[in-house]
Amino acid sequence: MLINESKIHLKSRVSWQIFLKNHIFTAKKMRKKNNSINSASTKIINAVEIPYDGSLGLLALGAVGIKAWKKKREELQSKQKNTSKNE
Amino acid sequence: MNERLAKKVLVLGWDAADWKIINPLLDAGLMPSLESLINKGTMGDIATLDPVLSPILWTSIATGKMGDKHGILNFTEPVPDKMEIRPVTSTSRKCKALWNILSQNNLKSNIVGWWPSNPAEPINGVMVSNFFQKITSEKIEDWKMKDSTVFPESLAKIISEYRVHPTELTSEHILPFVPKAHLVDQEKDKSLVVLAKNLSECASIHGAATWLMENEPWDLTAVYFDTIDHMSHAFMRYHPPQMQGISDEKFDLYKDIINGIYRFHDMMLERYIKLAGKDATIIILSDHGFHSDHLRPKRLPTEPMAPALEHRQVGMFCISGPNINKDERIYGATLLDITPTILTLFGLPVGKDMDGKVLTQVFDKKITPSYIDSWENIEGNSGNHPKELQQDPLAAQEALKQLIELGYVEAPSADSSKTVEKVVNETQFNLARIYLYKEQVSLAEPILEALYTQSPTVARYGLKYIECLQKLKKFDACISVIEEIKQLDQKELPQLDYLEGVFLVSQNKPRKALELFKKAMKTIAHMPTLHVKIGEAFVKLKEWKDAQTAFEKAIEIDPENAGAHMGIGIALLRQDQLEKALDHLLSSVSLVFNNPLAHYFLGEAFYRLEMYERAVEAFKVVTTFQPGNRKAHSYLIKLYTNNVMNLEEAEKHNAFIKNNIKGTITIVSGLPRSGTSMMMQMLQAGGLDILTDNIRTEDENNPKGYLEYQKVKNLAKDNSWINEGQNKVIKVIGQLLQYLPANYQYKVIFMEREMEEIIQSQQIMLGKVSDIEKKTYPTVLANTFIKQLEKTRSWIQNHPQFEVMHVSYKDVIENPSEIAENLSFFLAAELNINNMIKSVEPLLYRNKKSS
Repeated sequence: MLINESKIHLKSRVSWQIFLKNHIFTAKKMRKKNNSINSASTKIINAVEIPYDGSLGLLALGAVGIKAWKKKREELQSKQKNTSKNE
Repeated sequence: MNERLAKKVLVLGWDAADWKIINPLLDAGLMPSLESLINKGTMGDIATLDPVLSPILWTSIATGKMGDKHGILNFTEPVPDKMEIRPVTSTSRKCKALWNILSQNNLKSNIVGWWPSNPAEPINGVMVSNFFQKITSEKIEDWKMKDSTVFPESLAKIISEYRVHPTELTSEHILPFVPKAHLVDQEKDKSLVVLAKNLSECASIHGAATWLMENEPWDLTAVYFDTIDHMSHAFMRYHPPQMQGISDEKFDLYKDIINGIYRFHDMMLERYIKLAGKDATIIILSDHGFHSDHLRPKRLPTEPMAPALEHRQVGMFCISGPNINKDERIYGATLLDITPTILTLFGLPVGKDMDGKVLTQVFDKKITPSYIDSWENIEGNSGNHPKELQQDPLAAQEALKQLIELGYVEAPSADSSKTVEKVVNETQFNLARIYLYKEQVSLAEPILEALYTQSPTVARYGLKYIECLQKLKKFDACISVIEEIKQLDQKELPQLDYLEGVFLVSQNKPRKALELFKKAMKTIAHMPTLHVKIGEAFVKLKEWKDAQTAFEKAIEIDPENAGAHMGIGIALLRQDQLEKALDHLLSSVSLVFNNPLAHYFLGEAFYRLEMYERAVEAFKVVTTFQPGNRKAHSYLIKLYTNNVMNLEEAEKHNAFIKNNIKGTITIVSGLPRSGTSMMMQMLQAGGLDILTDNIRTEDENNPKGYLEYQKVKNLAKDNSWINEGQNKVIKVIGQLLQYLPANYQYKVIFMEREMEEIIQSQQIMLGKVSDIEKKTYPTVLANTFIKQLEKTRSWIQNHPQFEVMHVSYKDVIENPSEIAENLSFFLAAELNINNMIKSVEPLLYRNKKSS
């Protein structure tokens, strides 16, 4: 088993600033305001564009994040299939 | 049923999570979700159990019981009807887990990934077993979920959709952990695969758990993650600071992984907090810590369970929710306390057969837990597997062996037999370690003896057997095993010197022990426990400065060694450096709370510093752990009478001592002719009062007198006179010790002598000189005496009112000054050492064992 090397070669940015509205930095700021740091919710899932490659943030959201990511992948894959069929 | 204190309870198991990694991340604001829980709740260390092996520990967490009761004893187990092994299963658990008890009480549980939980149990709720997330195939299309992974089966398909395979992961998932992942040569270095596999398994568990929390009703949700543990075993060596032997290239590539995986757990926690809701009680805990600093082992021995050497003895614990103390710390928690505490949160009684306690300190009000004898006898649908599915794998393996021997089953190949045998041996070894941990030493002995006899070259069996024999005070057997191992193993075993040294310290031979420790220093100087033992030997010798130096060396290696902090505290206390002593004693109790000795010295330090209120607190802790600790009660009486002025409390402690604790009586014991009279004479010469009626006078067998008391002979029938012996010395032969009343404290000096010499001396005394001339040795009698002695030693061991010093007759003759010094220390009395030495008459050592 190899991790998809081509993807790793292509990407070089470090993306802890993933999906959850920049989990760490936002959370720090919000704590100062004494607010809740819970920013992950299904509402966000609906509101934000899901990256095809997924993200740690989507994994951290659990079932809703995994479902949204897998759905996005399937949609794209079937879209690609349809495109190649049409071609 | 008591008041229910929690509406819902969420338990997150983070295997191997450690405050040592978490604290700097919290300080940097990188684990905000955990920080929010800590601020709203109670946190602290949690002590692990022995052996530090996760399936055993997580089952203890879920049952409140040690492995001997719950039956999960290894990572693997023999397949009941085959000569094969398999990962340990839930059918081997011998008792109810928390979710079974809740099922019986109509409470719903969602259990995800608990180790071991396969096959999933038919509980009231949902169980997703620890096989759910396991990557069993490199290709996603071949990755099938096994039957019996999910209960109820009807949910298996939908939950399986949340599994994540490593090949699905992309750079988006990998780069946060390994920013320079593109530099990894994946043909040679499989680290990214290890990372991806663990991350995907983690995501699968999280996916299932969060789906259940959103879609299924629950009172308890318990989710177990092994990711931190597995990632730590794979990558902790790359965690800063850079370890010796780790190349710059590898360090640069993988140094962020450990912090990364903790941060990912914090991100998942954010989701759990959200889904659990504000009124839920949330518990996060690990089963042990993980060495992340200079204590990381440079290399691991090639033996089963060696990776466990990377585990640290304390894990992390945090609880928050309604009725829980806010922003507090807890001390003295163990893994065994989780189930009793959760039962109390649900208002349910705790089984008295559970080994743990309710963590009452975490609550913001006074809690009085309720108890029942056991949950095992309570009828009702507990969601356990049906009886026919439950099996003791070791018993099943024995039955299989018999069938093979009888020819009913074909004999397996040599390889598979060997594999099964190894697993059975390791399982037995773990059971013996559990018995040792529980101080049920006599149960450990036959197991270790069998393992050692069967595999004398397996060092860990022999070393543990020695430890066991030491605890049983079977000194002769202990010495012979040490000698056997020395002969078996050509290369020197440093642990053997160390263990022999520990043995000698326990026998009050600190100088000889120090010689061996010095030898062990050449190879195992990196072990903090070695320095602690050296310190303890110096403490015995009252050489405080040297003791302090040794304990300080242990602290240099492991700044969090509670025993070393206590040792320094004691050494400084005796050198009148009170404030420094106080600092170390406070460190000791904050690291390991349940150590009454440390609290006792802490109390003494506070007292001498005139911090009387604090002294009272410390001594009260001592009496909680050791209700019979007379010295602590005496300090409290003094404090309440003279310092904090609470005469009512003083009287309570006075009354307690009067009714429950009598004075200390010194006993000289052993077999007749083992040197008991000589010891009585020595103590008399040292200045101690002897309880004697001088009815039996000196004779040619005992020219200096017997110093006996006639009433002792009738001890079995009448012990009412024993108060006459308070603060005096009485001679009582070993066989009669059991008749001494239990409400006194006894310091027993137990004389040891070669059996051949004892028998010979007794024969001469009985006038059986002809037997000696004929050289007829009464073997049966000697064996009976040996057995009686072993029984007596073991009996003393199990009765806390006895404190024992074993003294060899030969040592008294050969080195009376050292023995006199040790006696003075043991009895905590200023004895006249010179007079004691003079009282020993080497010429009276007439019946020597023939060489």
